[in-house]
Amino acid sequence: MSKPIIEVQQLEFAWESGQTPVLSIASFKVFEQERVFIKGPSGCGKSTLLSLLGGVMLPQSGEIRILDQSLIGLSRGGRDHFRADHIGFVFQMFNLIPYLSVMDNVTLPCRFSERRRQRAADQSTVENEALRLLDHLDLNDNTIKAKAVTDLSVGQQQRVAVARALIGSPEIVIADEPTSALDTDLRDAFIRLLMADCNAHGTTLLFVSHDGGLSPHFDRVIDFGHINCPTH
Amino acid sequence: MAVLNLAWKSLLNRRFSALLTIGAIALSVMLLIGVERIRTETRASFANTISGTDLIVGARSGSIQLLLFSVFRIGNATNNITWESYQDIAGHDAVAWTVPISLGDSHRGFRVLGTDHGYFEHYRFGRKQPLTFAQGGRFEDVFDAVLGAEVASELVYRLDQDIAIAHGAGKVTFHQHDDKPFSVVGILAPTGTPVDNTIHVSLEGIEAIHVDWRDGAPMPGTKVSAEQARKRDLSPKAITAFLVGLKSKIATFQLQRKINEYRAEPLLAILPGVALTELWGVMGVAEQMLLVVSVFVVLVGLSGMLVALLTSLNERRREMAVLRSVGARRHHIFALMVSEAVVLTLIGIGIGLALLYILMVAAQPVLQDRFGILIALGPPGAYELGLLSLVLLAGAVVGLIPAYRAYRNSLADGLTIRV
Repeated sequence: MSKPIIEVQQLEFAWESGQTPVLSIASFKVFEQERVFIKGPSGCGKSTLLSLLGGVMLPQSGEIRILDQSLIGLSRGGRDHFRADHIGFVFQMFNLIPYLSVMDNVTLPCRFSERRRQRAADQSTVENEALRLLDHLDLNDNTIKAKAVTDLSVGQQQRVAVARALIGSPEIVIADEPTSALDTDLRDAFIRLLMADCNAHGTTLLFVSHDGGLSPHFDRVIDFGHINCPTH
Repeated sequence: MAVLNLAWKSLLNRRFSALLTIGAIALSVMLLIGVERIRTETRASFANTISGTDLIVGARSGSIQLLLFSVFRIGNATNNITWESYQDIAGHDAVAWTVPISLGDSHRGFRVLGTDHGYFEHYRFGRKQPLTFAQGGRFEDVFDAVLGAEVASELVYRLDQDIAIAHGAGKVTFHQHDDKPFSVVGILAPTGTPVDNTIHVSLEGIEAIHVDWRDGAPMPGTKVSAEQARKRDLSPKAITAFLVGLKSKIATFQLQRKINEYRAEPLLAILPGVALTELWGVMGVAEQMLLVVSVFVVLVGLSGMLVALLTSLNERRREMAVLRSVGARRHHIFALMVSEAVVLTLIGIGIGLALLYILMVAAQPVLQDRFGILIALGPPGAYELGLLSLVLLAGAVVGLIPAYRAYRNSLADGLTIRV
């Protein structure tokens, strides 16, 4: 088996120290190039776990290692930097910055991460890489690139968000309920495209949803209720 | 500059509210700098109501009083100066020229000033500008009069018109010197000084209309016609005040002391510049208040921006979380909000200045014609640049408030996007 890319040990998190923790995870691992589906009802703490993995918040105790780097040991700025370099995010909806063009939205991570800018520009230029990703996601219509992002359909917006998460080839893509705003047909097409792109880039995918119907697409399904056992 | 670029595009996206904010800031900046310009110009033009004159001499009273009646034609002299004392001081070695002033009569509310040709030659206002004639020329005959610009325009007087001079300074008087009418021979160009409101006649003219008067009232039964008056001895016996120009400024204080200690009668000599500054000190409070008010208007403009930025924050929480997720650090979020405030203020200042200059170009001829104030169109001076920097700084400080809230929000929200 390949080595773990995300490793969580003895993690405890409460919104305020002294309160009962909302997260208590003894052990949780995701391996390289794995496609993991975390299933659980809304409001159970999944999004909080993603904020912790993104290094936006710190747990009261426990260890989080990503790509063999402990997030606990990094400064706040260091965690921000690390997130920008190695993780791409896709959220439920309204992922895009309304005042930026489709192209500017896709290339946005390259403005904050030098590593991703260089990796995106490896082949030709950042713009060409963005075009290639959009093309891959069936967004090759030139009128779409010229449109304001607010004029795109929800399905198109989610695909632009995927292109943004993938640009500069981060090792990990975390998707938080990215399909809940899509109808069933669009949902399956979206998942197929997402999978294909992650495969092509060798990206590890962590997919969080309450919708168990998506499980067949994934290598491994984790029931969030099983890994998270906060003591009540 | 990733953040500045984002701030700019974000503002473009909200261009309607951004334009309103910029408009408010622009108008307030226009007012602030406009008030400051007018303030400086009026102060300068006030301080130069009379220039080129080294000393003003009158009977002993207060220096402000002497200044008020001799320069501003406000109030009255308590006493006159005898012609002999005037001649004595005029003959002093240090004196280059003197201009006598005789006040006491009026025409329909405008003061009549008796003087000689030296007045047109030596009187200076503003930046040492001499008096110039819009029409006609100096008085030559005993019954000739030269009008200030405002007198001519308000009373709609033309050359060769006959006017009657009344005794005293009121608008309504019983004693008209209507038996000896004066003829308008000249009209002066506007100066923006009290000269505009003055009717100038010769000292002999003043004497002529009073030949049949004694102790401030006409003598009954001794009416003297204008033609008869011409034949009398019209050499002046007394004047109200006189202006002194010196050969060298070094002698100013020496001569001032000499006049103040004059033995034959009690006299007072003042330096017009000093007295004008003293007088401005009394009135300067109003001018300070004007600046204070316009500073408050700027603060109102900036608080409009604060409201606009704060109300936009809630709908932008999602945007902030997205920015965080793609790698923006919290200081980027902070800088984004502050840059938006700075960009708004900067554009506001730019447009405000542009509006002000357009307005000044349009108003300049009117101001010069009507008030004789010449507003310089030069670039903003050091003080104005200082004011503008303060406005920009205040804009940045105002931006700190929404920036701090966005910063706090982004800590609480993390990457979870809330509606």
